[in-house]
Amino acid sequence: MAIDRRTFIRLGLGGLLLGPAMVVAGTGAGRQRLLSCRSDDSGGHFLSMVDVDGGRLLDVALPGRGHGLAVDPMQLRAAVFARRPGTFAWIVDLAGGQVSHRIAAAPGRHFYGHGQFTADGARLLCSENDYASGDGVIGVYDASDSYRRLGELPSHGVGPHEIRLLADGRTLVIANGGIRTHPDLPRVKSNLASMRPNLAYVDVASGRLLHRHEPEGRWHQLSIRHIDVSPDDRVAVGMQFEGDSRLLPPLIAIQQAEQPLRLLSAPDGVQRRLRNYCGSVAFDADGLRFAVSSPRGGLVTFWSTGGDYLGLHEQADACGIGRTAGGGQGFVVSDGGGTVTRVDEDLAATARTSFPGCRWDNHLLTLRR
Amino acid sequence: MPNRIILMLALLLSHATARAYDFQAVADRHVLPTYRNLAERTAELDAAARAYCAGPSGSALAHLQAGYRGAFLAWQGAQHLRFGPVQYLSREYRFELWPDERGAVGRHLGQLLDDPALQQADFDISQKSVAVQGFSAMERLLFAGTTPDAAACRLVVAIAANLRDMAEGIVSDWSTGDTPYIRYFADPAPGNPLFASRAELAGRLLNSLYTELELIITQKLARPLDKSLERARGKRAEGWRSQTGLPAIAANLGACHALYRQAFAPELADASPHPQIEAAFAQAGSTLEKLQMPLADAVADRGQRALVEQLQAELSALKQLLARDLAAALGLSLGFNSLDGD
Repeated sequence: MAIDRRTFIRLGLGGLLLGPAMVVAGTGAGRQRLLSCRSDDSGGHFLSMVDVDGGRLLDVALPGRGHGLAVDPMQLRAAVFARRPGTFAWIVDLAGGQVSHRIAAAPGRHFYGHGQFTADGARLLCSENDYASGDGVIGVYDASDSYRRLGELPSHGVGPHEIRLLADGRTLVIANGGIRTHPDLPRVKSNLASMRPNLAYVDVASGRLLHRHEPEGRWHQLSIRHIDVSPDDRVAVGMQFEGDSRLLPPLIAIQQAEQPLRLLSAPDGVQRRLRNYCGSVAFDADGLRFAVSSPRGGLVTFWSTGGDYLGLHEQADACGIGRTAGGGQGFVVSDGGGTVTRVDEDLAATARTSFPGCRWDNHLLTLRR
Repeated sequence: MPNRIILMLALLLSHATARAYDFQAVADRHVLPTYRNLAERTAELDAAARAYCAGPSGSALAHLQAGYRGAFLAWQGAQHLRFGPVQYLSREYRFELWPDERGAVGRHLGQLLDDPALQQADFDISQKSVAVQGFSAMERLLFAGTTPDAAACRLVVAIAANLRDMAEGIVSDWSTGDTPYIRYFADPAPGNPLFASRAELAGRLLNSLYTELELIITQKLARPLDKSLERARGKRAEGWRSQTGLPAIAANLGACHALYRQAFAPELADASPHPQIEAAFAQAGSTLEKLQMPLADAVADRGQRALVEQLQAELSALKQLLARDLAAALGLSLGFNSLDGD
């Protein structure tokens, strides 16, 4: 099917009324399920679900390395996205573990590794690349009709990566990393000298750009890759610096509404340890603090929504990070060695659980048990 | 159970911090000689390319092809070093784009040969597709069975100069300027922006060895082998046109062995698993020597194929020795997210 990128998608009104905040109910840590992609020691790749405190719940073998995840508002289905430049997005039934749909990348498109369900669960939005032109797009799929591709929105930048809907259900925030890639040359970044990343706010119904925000000129090689949104629509941003490794740019930002990006730096000694690279970003369930993983430095740093540096948690090779589901101010952290750690509201690691043979990949989601 | 794990971790950590690791020596005796050799061989290739294109002849072409093989094998001897200046500006991909499952090299090369820009005085190959900048494209131009014509010659000269420039750039980024990479490499410590501890850099080197073995096992050997003799796919072998597939693997293994001996063997001081690792390198080397034909043919020959499969199994065993036994003995982590993010 030929897709006219000017044909924008109209979402049903139902999608506008059910805010994501409704997913969170109750408080307290309680039992937690963790959903993440992983690799095993012999080159196999899986989507897996475990109990954070021990116990394997689900393993779905994937055709290649997975990356980001999305769960629908009812927490019945998960979407798992192939790692950039990927060609598959699978829908998995969380109760039974069956793969209900296998979405292949549309002609001329590849997946960038992240996506989101709309608040009513009716649509799946995926960050994608129109690789002939290099323009970023957001593919729109109909969850009620076998994930038929309805069309696409422009991402208003190059290399869209993580995306999030605001509480209104109609505004999509897009981390346009700025890096151009092509499936002919997997993993090669071809425009590092000229890249211009941005954080774009886009109206999902029309595809119209509402506003967008770029790092200041001297930091144009700060690739905006991963974001999370708080219940009151603050956007926490984790970046990766593609320039000279001896420089020490800020790597984390907080942004809200039409205000500019507020770039944040940790104290010098800590900032240095981030290795110019952030892997994953998550707000806590209350939306008061956020955590950013820096796997190259083996650190997770914690920040207030006001932009204050709060502290750090050390865990080698840790990248996956998520809120303690169900409320409160805790986090769950996973690493490539198989360990999952709970970090409580005092930002102290309170429990470590080892999952042998699980190299937890970059991202995780938490669900209440 | 958790207590035992914590105790084990504590033991491993104390173990790791007690290790010496002479990274200055690793740089001086392994890394820099490897890149200097690459710079010398690519400079020879550059000279041979210009000589051939100035006065094409059978002997000049033979000299150019020999120059190609020498430089390509020098690159193969450096391929295991997956950190630092070789990664700046996507150099590692520009040297060689392999495997090339989508045929990007052939396609982009065809387009470029037809592109009028190639004839312009200001033609700059470093601004063209990564796929046409290095050995993978040059091999097609030099080993096509026909002598390179004027357009091909122009490109061969441009690629050779590009390879030489990149190799010189790596040597210079490692060793000269205000902040040479070697300064960070030689002295991992808290506050060092690249390597905060000796164990971290040692883990990085171990990962380099592991990744190279994995590349040989799962790509260089598995791709042409495919699932059975009947399905063998010789043209999936790296360097099948220039018949450099097995010499490339020999260069990879030689380089891995040399890095192991320089960086890790002194830490083990002949204790386990050092003898097992030495035996595994020797065994794989002896199997490699028994292969009598180019890799592309060997995978389709019943007797030789069994040897290729044997080599693959022996390298898997070696990989396990490094990933499990060596990592445990030295208290090192291979890393996963920390090395390959997105």
